[in-house]
Amino acid sequence: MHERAPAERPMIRMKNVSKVYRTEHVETHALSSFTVDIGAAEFVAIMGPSGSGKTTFLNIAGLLDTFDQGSYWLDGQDVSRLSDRQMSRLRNEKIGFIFQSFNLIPDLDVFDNVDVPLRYRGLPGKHRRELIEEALAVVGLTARLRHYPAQLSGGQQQRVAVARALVGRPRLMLADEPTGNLDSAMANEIMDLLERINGAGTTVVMVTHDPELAARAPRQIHVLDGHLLDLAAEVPAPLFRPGAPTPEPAFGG
Amino acid sequence: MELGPVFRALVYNRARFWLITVEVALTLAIVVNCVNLTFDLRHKVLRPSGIDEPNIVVVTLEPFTHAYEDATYLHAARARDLEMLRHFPGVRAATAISAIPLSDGGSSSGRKAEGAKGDTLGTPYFDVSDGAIAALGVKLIAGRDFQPGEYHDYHDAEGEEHDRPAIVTQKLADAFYPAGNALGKRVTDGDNKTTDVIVGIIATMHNSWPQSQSVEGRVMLLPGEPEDKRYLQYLVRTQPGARKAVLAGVDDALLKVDSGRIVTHKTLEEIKRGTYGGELSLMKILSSVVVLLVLVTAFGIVGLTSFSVSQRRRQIGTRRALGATRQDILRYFLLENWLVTGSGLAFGLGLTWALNYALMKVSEGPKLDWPLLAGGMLLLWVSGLLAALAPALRATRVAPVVATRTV
Amino acid sequence: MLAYHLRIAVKSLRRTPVLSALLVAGIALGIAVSTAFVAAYHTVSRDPIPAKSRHLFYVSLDSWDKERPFDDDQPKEPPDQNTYRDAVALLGSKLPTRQTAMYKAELTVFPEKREERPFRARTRVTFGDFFPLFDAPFQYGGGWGKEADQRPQAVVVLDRDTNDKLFGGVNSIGRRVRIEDREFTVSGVLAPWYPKPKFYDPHNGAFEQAEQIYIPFRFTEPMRLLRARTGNLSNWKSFNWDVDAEFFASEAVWIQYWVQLDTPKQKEAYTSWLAGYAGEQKKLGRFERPINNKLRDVREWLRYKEVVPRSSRTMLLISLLFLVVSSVNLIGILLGKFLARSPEVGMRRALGASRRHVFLQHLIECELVGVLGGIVGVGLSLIVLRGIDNLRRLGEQGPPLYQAELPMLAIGILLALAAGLVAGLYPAWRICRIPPAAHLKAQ
Repeated sequence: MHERAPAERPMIRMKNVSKVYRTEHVETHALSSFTVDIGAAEFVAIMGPSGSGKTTFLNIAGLLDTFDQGSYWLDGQDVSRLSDRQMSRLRNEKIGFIFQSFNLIPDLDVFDNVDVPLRYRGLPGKHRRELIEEALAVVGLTARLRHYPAQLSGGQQQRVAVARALVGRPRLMLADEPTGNLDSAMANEIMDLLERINGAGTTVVMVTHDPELAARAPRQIHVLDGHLLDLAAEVPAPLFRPGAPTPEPAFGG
Repeated sequence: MELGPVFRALVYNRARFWLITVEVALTLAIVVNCVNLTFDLRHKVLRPSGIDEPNIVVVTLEPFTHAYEDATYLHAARARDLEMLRHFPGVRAATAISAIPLSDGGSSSGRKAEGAKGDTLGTPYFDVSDGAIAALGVKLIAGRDFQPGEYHDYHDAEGEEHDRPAIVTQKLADAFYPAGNALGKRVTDGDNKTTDVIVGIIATMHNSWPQSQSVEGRVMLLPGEPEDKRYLQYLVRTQPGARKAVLAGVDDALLKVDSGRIVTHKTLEEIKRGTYGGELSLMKILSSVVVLLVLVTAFGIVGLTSFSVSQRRRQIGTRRALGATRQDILRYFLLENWLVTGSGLAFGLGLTWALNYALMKVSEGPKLDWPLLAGGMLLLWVSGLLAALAPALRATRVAPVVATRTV
Repeated sequence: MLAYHLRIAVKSLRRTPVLSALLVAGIALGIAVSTAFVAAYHTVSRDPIPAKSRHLFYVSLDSWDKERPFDDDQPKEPPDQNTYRDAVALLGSKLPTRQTAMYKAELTVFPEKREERPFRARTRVTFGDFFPLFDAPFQYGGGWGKEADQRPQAVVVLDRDTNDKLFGGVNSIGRRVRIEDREFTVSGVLAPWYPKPKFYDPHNGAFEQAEQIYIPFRFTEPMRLLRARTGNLSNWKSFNWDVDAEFFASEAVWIQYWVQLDTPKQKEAYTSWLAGYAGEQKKLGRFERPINNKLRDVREWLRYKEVVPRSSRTMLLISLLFLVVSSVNLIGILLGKFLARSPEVGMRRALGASRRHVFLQHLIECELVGVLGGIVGVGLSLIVLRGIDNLRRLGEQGPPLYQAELPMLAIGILLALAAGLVAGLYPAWRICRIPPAAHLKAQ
C-alpha cells in the first residue's frame, strides 16, 4: 500500500501534485506540479494572493480534497489511494483544522463543539471530558462550557475552534486564515496559541494574507498561480523574514 | 452514539423541533383514529352473517294483475315459480321469504318465553316457504326443519295464532331460555294472542338489520307463505360459481311462467352493500384521508430535513473535516429525525387519546384499539425515517472542502 | 409598495419551483379535503327551506301505548308519525294556512305505449297543499286544488324524469297515465327537485330523492293504497291487518302531518285546538298517556330526527384537523425557506428595509402560497366532493347529493387565506427579527 517512508519522515511530502478544476468551458490549474516537504514540528506560513492555490494546497494537505496527479505522503503514508473512510479516520486522528470563519457548529455549545472530533473517535465519555477540559484550559475558556457560539466574541469563537483542533492531539495543525476575521489583538492571541501548540511538537501550517503574522513563522512558502516559491529555500533576503533562520529539512525536493 | 449533542442541538432549534413534533403528533392522532374507525367498520361489514352470502340471488316480482289478490291463486303461483326456480340450471335451493336478511327492511315482533314476566324481546322474524334452511345456507344445530304439513296460515277464528312452529337462532333461543333448554318450549307475544313452539335451532344468522345492536343475531323463522300480496320475493341459492349464469336467465324464465309482473333481481351481496353503504363509503374515505395525510406529513419531513441539510452544509463539511465519515453524517441526520419523530409520537399518544375521546363524544365512534396505536406509531416512525433518508443521503455527499470555502 | 412585495414574492417562489409546487400542493390538499367535507356537512346540516322553515310545523300527537313510551331512549317523545284516524281528524281544522297529511307508497305505472313494460314508481300520496307548502317547483302546469282533494279527482303530478320516461319530456298537461287500475290526468310536471335533506319525510331516508309521482290522499281508501304503502309503520295495539277498516281505525302510526302557521297567534290558536282534540280523544278512551302534542318547525324537526349522519360530523372534524396539519407543514417549510435566506434579508435590512417591510414581504409570500393553494385546493375539492358522492351511492345512478355551491367555494378560498396567514405569521416574524448586520460579515 504505502511507499517506504524515508528515515526521517516529513509530516507533509508532496511531489508534483496537480489539481485542476474543470467547468464546462474553463480549466483552472489550482496547483501544478507542486512539490514541497514540511518537516515534523515545523511552523510554516503559506502566503500568496487570492486564487493562487494556497487554500487548495491546504485542502489537499488536510485530505479535504483530492488531487489529480502526483504523490502525497502524510506522515510517511501514501494517501493518494485512500478511501473516503480512511481519509476521514486520518483527518480525525492526525489533523486539526482551524478555519477563517471558525466553523463552530451553531447548534452546539462550546463543550459539544470541542467534543465533535472525539465523538468520531468513539472515546468513552469520561476520557472525552478530560480531553475537552484540558483543551479548553489551553485556550482559556473553561468558564464558558455551556455557551453557544452566538454568545461568544469572534476571538472567543476562534479559541474554541483552536481547542477543537487541539483536543484530538493531532500531529498536524492546519489553519486557514485563522485570524482573517479577527482584529489584531485577537489575531495575536491566536498566533500565540499556535506558537504554543507548535512548541509542544505539533506541525503547524498556516495560510495567511498578513505578512506581519506570516513573519512570525520560521518558514514561509509562497504560492503563486499554483506554483511554489519557497522563500526559505530560494529567496535569500526575505523582506518578511525575521532574524532566526530556519533549519532546512535535509531531504531534498 | 451521540444522542446527547444531537438532542441538545435540536432543542436549540426550537421551531424546527416543535413543528415536526406537532405535525407528527397530529398525524398520529388522525391516522390512528381513522384506521381505528375503518377497522371497526370493516369488522362490522365483514363479520360472518351465517348466510351463504356469495351464492344468493334475490328475485322480486311485483304483479300488476289482480289475480294475485286471491290467496289460492297466489299460493299456486308461488308453487309454480319455486318449481321452475328449483329446476333452473345452477340453482341449489329456493324459498319464498317475507323479507330479505341484511336488507335493512323487514318485520319484527315482540316475544318472550312462555310464562315469563316482563317485557317482550324485539324478535325479527321471516315467514318462509319450504326449503328456507337450504336456501339461506344456515346450519341447523338442534331440533328439526319444518315439515311439509306445517306451511299454512295459523290464524284461528279470533284472529289469534297458536303453536306455530319456529326455528330460532342459538342467540335468540338463549335470550328466551338462558338455561339452554329452549328446544320444544313456547314463546308468546305480550298478550298471549300468539304462541310459537321452538322446533329447531340454527347456529347463527343475521336478520334484516345487521347494523342494529339491540336485535343482533336474533332471528325467528316461521313456516307459512309471506302475507304481502304486492311482492313475491324469492331467495335463490346457486351452486358456487353459477350465480352469474342464473342471474342472466332467471328474469325471462320467471316472465315465461307469468308475464303479468315486474321482475327485478339483486345479489345478496349487492343488497348488503346497499345496507352498509354508509360504512363502506366511510371506510374508503377514511383510508384515502390516511394515505393523503401520511403523504403530506412525509412531504413536510422531507422539506424540513432538506432545509436543515442545506442550511447546515458548512457544518457538515466541518464535521467531515474533523473526521466524520459519510456514515457518521447519515447517522446524525437519521438520529435527529428519529428523535423528532419520537417526540412527536410521544405527544401524539396523548393527542390520539384526546381525539378518540372527542370522536366518541361527537359521533359515538368506537373506543381506541390500543395495539393499533402501536401499529400507527410504527408506520409513522418508518415513514419519517424514509422521508428523511433522501435529504440525509444528500448530506453525506457534502464534501469536506466546504469547510474552507469562504462563501 | 404592495406591488413591489408581490413581485418579490413571485420571484422568490419561482426561484425554487419544486419547493413552491410542494408548498402549494400541500396546502391545496388540506384545502381540498376540508372544503369538500365542509361542503358535505353543509349539505346534510343546512336549512332546506330557509324562507319558510320557521312557519312549517310537523304535528305529533301522543297516541301511544300507556305501558311503554314510543322510544325507550327518549321516553318523553310522542310517536314520530300519526295514525290515519288522527290525520283525517286534523284535516278538519281550518286554522293552518296550508296543511297536508301524506305517506309514501309504490304504485305500478303503465306507459301509454303497450310495448313498454310497466314499472313501479315511488309515490307520495298527499294533498294539493303539498306543492305550495314545500315550494316544489313546476316545469309545466301545477298541483291540484281543494276540489280535487275533497272528492278525489284522478290527477297526478309527475317528476321530470318520469315525464321524460312516459311522454318523452313534452308538456304532458292533460295527458292520461294509468296508475294501478285507474286512469289519471297529468296536472303538472315538476322541475328537477331534490330537497336536501328530504325534510318533509326524513323517516324514510333523509337524503333520498323526492318521489316520482304524486296523487291525492283521498284515493287511499278507494284504491286500497294501504297495500302499496312502503314507508315506516309502527304499531302497538294488534288488529286484523287484512281488514282495511280495522287498519284505518287502528293505532298504527304511518302518516306524516305538516301545517303552515304564519303568525305566532295562528300557532297559539292551533296549539290550543290540538290540545282540545287530544282532550276529546282522551274522553273517548284513546290517548292514555299524558297529553303531549308537539309542533316542531323544520329545524327543530330535523334536529329531533338526527338527520345529520354521525359520519359527516366525524369527517368534518378529521378534515379540519387535516387542514391544521397542512398548515403546520406550511409553517415548517416556510420557516426553513425564510431562514435560509437570512443573509439576503440582512442585506435588505442594511439597505434600509424596516422590520415592517420584511415582515410584510414574507407574509405576502405566504399569502401568495395560500391563495395559489386555495385556488388549486378548491378545484381539487370539486373532485373530492364528487368522489365522496360516488362513494356514497355505490355506483347507483341519480343526481349528486353533494354539490359544490358558490358560498362553499368562497369558504375554501377563505380557509386558504386563513391558513396562509396563520402559517406565515411565525416565519415572517422570525425573519423580520434578523439584525441587519448579522449576516453581512463574511462567513
